[in-house]
Amino acid sequence: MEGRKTLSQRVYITDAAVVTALGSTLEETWHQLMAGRSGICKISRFDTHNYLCDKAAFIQDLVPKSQESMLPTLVERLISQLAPLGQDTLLFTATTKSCIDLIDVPGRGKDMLCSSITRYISQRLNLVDKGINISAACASGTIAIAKAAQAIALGRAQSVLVCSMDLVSEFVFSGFSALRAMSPESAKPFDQNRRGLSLGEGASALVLTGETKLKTEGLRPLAEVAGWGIAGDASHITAPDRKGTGLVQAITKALEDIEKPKIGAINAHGTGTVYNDAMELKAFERIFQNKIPPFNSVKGALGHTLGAGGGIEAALGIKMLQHGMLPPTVGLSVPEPGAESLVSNTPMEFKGKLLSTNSGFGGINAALVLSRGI
Amino acid sequence: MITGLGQMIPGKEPRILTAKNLLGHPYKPFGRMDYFSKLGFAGIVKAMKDAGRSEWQAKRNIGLIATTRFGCLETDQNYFATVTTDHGMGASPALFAYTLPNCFLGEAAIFLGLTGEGFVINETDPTGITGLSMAMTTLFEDDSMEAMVYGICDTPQISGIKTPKNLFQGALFMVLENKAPYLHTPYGALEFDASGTIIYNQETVSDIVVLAENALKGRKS
Repeated sequence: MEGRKTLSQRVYITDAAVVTALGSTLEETWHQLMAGRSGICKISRFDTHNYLCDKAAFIQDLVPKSQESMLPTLVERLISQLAPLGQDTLLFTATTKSCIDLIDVPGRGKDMLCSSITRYISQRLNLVDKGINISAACASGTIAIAKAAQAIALGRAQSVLVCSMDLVSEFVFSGFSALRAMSPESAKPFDQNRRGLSLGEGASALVLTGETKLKTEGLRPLAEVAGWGIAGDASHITAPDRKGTGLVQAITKALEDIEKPKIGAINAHGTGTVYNDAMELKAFERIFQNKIPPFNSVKGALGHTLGAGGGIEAALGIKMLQHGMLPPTVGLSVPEPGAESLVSNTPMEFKGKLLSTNSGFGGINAALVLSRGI
Repeated sequence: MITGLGQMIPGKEPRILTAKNLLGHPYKPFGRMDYFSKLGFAGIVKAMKDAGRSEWQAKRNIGLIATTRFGCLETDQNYFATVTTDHGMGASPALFAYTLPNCFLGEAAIFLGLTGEGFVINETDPTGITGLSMAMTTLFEDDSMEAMVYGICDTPQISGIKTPKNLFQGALFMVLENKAPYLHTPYGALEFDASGTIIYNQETVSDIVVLAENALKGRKS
């Protein structure tokens, strides 16, 4: 039979941190999210007069400085929350545009390279590994976690730090406005009247650890990365496949060793664009038929944080599993037909594993299955 | 094993980069692509042709990974010029679509019908080895994966950026397969040793460009 070969060890998340528009820690972000709050508000960082909307979920006290990027400041806030790491820890970062806020600063082109922020993190944490960045649009964070899990599961690494991050910048804001993908008001994922996405910014850090190291060092697992899958649509570079073909394939791979009824909930990509949310619903129907688990989207609260999204959502997934609760889908008022009992603007209880999905430009899709730590 | 190689080197190519020159027929999406995407797309198509895998009926579980240092930085600059010219009014959606370095992988996937994993790697030390290792690992891990296409891609010159002397300029891609059903004479076999080091013909692989040169020499001899 074709499929994934036997893996040599299980993969656990042993440390996690986030910085988002809703909070400077995972705990704070979780509580704000569960309270139904949104970080999306009027943006003051640049002039939005000529764009489709004037809102984003940005970190209020992350203030632009002349000639400098905000990203290292965001990264400092993130990595300062981590417990000390072994020097042999590998480093995978995930960002779509890195220090793109330097684009209008003469002579700083080199600092905009994605590898620059990777190197910065490696040096700050005194890691031997210089690290790599994974760039796959809005699936970057999820793919970085998947590849880290793969490396550990196959015994090629014992510990990988995965840092995902992206900023709200005029560069990206103007682009999504030009593509007419942004909602004039705050995003309403899975709502019948959704009109597009709201951008967000943030960062996440997850330490993935192999079973061997976990046992040897007596580490506490926060969650297990139990499955992963990545697949492409091969249909369009800026629009999802209407039938969700790539996402179905990614989820199918992620569920290879897991029975479908064991999935208790789905943290969906849920951008709030008409086509993305419809595609996801279609993919969930194709996978689960009439037994789709409850699902949510955090993007009505945190905005679409692009390459950081998958990492932030995986970190929040730890809290979801610990509490057995899906946070409310903020912005939702009238669910999409077929999703009425499955998505809610209030928290929902669940039991079992959590499926988390992301999709991005280039037609790429990624899925993770997380389960509770031991 | 390596079953196909394709490269596109600006300045060395005798013909300009057009769909007709590359494919033998017009292909509208090619004209829309930025230069970085055209280079990468051409490298991938050439490698797949070399492997005898460019023709297809049904979409295939073949993955695409590329390593780049500068990615689409030149396109970023060109796009942002359209933003600043008229306070955002003239922001080009067509250019913005190519300000993600993985979009050319999506273009190649559409043209060649490839539905495997696809992403770009930015290495701090751009030898291309980390990406090669990832591509090989995926082939090793997942039996359902027919092949992986892996390579490197960088545009020659970017305004305001000093290009390192050792940077490969252009696109160089290779097709990796566990078996070689489409080609009678693959270039050679890649494998991991016990420490995870990549070995080609009993020698350690430390640079993908050197690997490609050795692979070509091996086939000629």
